[in-house]
Amino acid sequence: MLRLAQARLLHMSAAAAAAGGGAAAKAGPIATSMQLKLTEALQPVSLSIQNDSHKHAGHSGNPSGAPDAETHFKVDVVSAAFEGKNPVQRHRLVYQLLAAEIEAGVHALALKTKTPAEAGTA
Amino acid sequence: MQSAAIVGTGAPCVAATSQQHLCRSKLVTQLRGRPSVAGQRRTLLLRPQALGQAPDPAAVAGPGAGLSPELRLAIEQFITENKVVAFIKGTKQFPQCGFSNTVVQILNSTGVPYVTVNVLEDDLLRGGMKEFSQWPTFPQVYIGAEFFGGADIMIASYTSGELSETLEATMNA
Repeated sequence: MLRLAQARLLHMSAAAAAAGGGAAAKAGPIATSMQLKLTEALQPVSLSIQNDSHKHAGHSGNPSGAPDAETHFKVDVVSAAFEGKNPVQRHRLVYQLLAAEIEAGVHALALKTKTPAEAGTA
Repeated sequence: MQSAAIVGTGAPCVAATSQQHLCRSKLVTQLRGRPSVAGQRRTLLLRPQALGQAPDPAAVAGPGAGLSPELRLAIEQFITENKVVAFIKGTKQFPQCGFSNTVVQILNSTGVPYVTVNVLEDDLLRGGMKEFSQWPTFPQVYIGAEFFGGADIMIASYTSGELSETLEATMNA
């Protein structure tokens, strides 16, 4: 009886930990907003947004080094919207789309901008 | 070495302090509006072929709230006088940001003479450069008075060989 209760308790705490872990790994509000804007404007074939802020903890762009900091991102976008544009124009386009996020504290975006043909996904 | 001719003052930036001093004195002097000094430097430094090079229209376009006409002119002069300019955080010897460091290492490895401007020294310049280049982050690299790119573009073009081609074309222009 007692053993059963203990097992139940263990099971519950494991579930709670899993839920908590899931929440921590979830994209923060800025990443979510970047994802939305880029998806809407560029209709990307693929889009990956990786939060690299922890690698820059203590650096001027991420002084707090908080685990949920959203200051440094790596963004890989494959979109037909980049066709006919040179790298500077492509990056400027992304920067313009994400101006609000940059204003709100995003310090650095490591960008990879490819067309579907360049990415070999066409 | 062509560096003396290109840097212009006859003092290629070798030490952190002189590098910092050169860049600061040139741009910041112009910023503070000493036209006689700036004008004199321009006549002295501008090479004939550089005169024909129009600055990137995209970089110059657009009225700027934070970018005064004087600053715009000073930046245009500076990137015309110096064939390769990296606007970075920190100095060549002590970049204060990983991305700026990457760009410095790449430029060092190419062996071309280049100057750096430390945007951390002057908020006006830092804000102005973002607007001038229409680029919200640093580093910002100018080659042949044109905006070439930030850290990602430097890495990609260094890897692809495009950077050396552009540098070669610019240095031989």
